Amino acid sequence: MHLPNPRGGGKRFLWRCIPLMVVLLAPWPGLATSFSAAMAGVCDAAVGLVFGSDPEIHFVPEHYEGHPWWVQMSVKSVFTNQSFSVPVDTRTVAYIRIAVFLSLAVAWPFWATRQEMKAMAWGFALLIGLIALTIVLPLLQVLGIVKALALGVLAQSTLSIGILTLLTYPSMAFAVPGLVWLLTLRLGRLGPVTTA
Amino acid sequence: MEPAATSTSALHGLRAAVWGAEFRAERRFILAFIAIAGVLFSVYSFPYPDGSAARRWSDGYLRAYAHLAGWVLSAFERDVVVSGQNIVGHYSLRIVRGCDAIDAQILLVSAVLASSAYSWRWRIGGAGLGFLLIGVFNVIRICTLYYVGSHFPEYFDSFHHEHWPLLLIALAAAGFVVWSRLASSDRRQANAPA
Repeated sequence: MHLPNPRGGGKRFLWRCIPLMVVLLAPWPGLATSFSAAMAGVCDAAVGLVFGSDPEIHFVPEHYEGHPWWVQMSVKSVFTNQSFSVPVDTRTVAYIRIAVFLSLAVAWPFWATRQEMKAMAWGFALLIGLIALTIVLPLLQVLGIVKALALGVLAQSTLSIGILTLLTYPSMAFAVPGLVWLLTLRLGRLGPVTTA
Repeated sequence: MEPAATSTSALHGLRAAVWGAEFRAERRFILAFIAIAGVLFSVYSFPYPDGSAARRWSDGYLRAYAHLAGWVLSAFERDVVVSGQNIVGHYSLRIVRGCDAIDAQILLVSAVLASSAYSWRWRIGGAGLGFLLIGVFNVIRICTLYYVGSHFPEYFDSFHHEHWPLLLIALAAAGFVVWSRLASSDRRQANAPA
């Protein structure tokens, strides 16, 4: 595997990337509440699109004491009418991943060619897909708990492995966007360069 | 409006990445990396039943981490006691799955083993050394978390969930870059004419 050499040198890349990451990951006032509210709205809209206008799954930006980034994922059992709620940390699941990807992407002059801009757009779409998967996995597990989904042993084990790998291990919040960025960087250098 | 040629060339690039012969080595690396990491994450994260041999081994591994970190901490503090997976002193820590830096270790080991351009001697040596290096840093991480928790508890969460995970991933990435440069230079020297 040939590692790409940054244009202008690795030091310049780090000088751009690290301050940007520090700024984006800083605890700005109001950021947590507004981002978690936006995430809850997007997740609720996505659930509405998939399950129709009256879903039994809701994402509520109910702020827990000391956890302004958390969103409550609530699933209501149609059989027992009981609700089952689990908190989703939107900072770990989404914000850090987006911030790290954007820091890497902006620090790299990806706008040099249209091919690279396209690759970065693909990469960002892939990252959003992985973030969606990170939210869907615990949702499926909760649906299994409330018996809305019949999950076999294999499905439960797969979900458990996926949740531990993508969600529980804290380093994955940084590794996933880093790996997606590396992949898109290579994609940006493939094929003929597009001319306008 | 985007000209149609742009999307055609992007598709061409994507097709070249997936099927093209010129990117065979990179494609092989990516597929091998995903396969090795997938197997290792599945084996380690599988929900083994309580009392099973794998669960006992996994718990023993976490207890060993707790004892190692407790031993290092006891050099600076006499009050530290380790009981099972718990480190108890001025601040209490419990070492659970995810506290063992296995994610960074698996990513580094997978990347090294997937680098088929280098000899197995280099790959196995690199994987072993990388695993140990991250393990050592993880013991340092646990010790610093103990002190952050006892002296600056308000910063514990950010150190636990953000600063140290970022450092471990950066260490794994840097370790891979350094290893691949060393392995490349060794291969060049081996191939150089006498």
